[in-house]
Amino acid sequence: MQNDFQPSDITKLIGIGALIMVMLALLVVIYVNYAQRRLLKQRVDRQNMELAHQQALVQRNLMTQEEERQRIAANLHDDIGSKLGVLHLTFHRLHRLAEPTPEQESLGEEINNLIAHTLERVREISHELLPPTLEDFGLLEALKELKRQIEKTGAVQVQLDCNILRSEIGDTHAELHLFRIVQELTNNSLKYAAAKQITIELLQETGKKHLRYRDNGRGFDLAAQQHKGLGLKNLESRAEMINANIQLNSAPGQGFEANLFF
Amino acid sequence: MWNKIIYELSRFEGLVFLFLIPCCIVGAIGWKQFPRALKLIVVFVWFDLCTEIILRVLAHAFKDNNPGLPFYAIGQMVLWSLFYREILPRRSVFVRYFKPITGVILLLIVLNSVFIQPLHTFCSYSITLVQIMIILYGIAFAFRFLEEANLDENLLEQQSFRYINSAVLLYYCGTLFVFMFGQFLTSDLTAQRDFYFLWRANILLNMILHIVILIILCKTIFSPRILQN
Repeated sequence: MQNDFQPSDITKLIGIGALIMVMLALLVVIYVNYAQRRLLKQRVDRQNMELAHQQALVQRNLMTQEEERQRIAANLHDDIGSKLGVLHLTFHRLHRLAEPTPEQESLGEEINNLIAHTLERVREISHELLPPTLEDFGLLEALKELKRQIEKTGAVQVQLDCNILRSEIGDTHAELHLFRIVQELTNNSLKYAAAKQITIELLQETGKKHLRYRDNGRGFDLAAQQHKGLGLKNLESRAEMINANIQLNSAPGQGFEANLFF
Repeated sequence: MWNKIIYELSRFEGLVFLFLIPCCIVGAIGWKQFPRALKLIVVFVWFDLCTEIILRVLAHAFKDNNPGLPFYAIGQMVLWSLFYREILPRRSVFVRYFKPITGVILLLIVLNSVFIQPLHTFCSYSITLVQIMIILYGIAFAFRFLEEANLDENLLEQQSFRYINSAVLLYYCGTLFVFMFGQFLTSDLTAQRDFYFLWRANILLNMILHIVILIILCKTIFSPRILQN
């Protein structure tokens, strides 16, 4: 029987085999790429959902915190503050009625000072928890008060520039969050950055309002901090709650800058 | 000598240098920026370049470059095994039994060159064995991605390895039969005519591999901060 199989036929078969192998490899590559993209998309979606959930939790937490602050501030001011005021007055009356010995006079003076000091502290704490200026006169006045408080320490100079009206800023909810953001930033500048100069600008720009915060402190590596800083997370959450876009910028030795567009 | 070099480069076979040489240059320039796995790829392209040159010199000088092939097979086996050991997960069989697997394959290549296909014949068994191993590595890496697309990993780096792996699969699958029947194709006079066509296909696939490597190396150099994270 004659063998019809020529060497050229074998070569053709090898060529066809090679082609099939290339096709198979292509199929594997395409399938793996497609499947991996799908898998990654699923994981990204899941991670985004988890992030959104976490964000919602943080925001809920912040809201609860604000409500608690308001409640404690109101209780301190209206209840304890007023009772201390009454106590102060009653003590004055008692002091006037009696004929105190010098020792009682000195003790009375001490009690009087203590009550006055406690009353002052209660007022301060309740104002720290919820500045009445913010509620009554708005963000601009609250920022001016904050500037005065910070400058009272004598360690930092605060420059405050605003070219915006209260009505342009937004509702009290937005004002509160903007104030808290500035409060958090100034706290950081004072506590960690050892800044000597703080600049706060509240500007009306084309179509957008811009809150710009800068300090000349020691700065930090933002990338390293972003994973652990609760303060920074809170800033972002508060910004998100008022639909603002926050951009932070810092590097060791180069101060800190935050830009908030809302 | 220059005429010979120009002649070599002007032939279709010379096209292999078109992307191989830039790969070597880019690899040398960006060496410090590359992660370990990409450094192995750079070593591979340099090895590839040296082998190409040596095999051509052997072919010209002695009309026989077959003695160089076992060394080429050994080099390929070692470098690709090291590369896949870097990128495959620790629990992979190929990583856990890296030394025994590589050792056995290298031993088989040596034994084949000593007893079955001596140095002056085309060592198709050795090359086929190495190619099958590399294909297995490639498949293990490709399907590993389906199990663990980890978002915490450096995605750009993983993407680079995925592209290299795709090119590796394409090249070694496409040329498996060409090398498997290499002895027949080079010894049979009638088949030799068609062999050149297959050899050109091999060069084309080889060029694709080098193009992919070149792109990945360039990409790594121009986005070094992301890759080194």
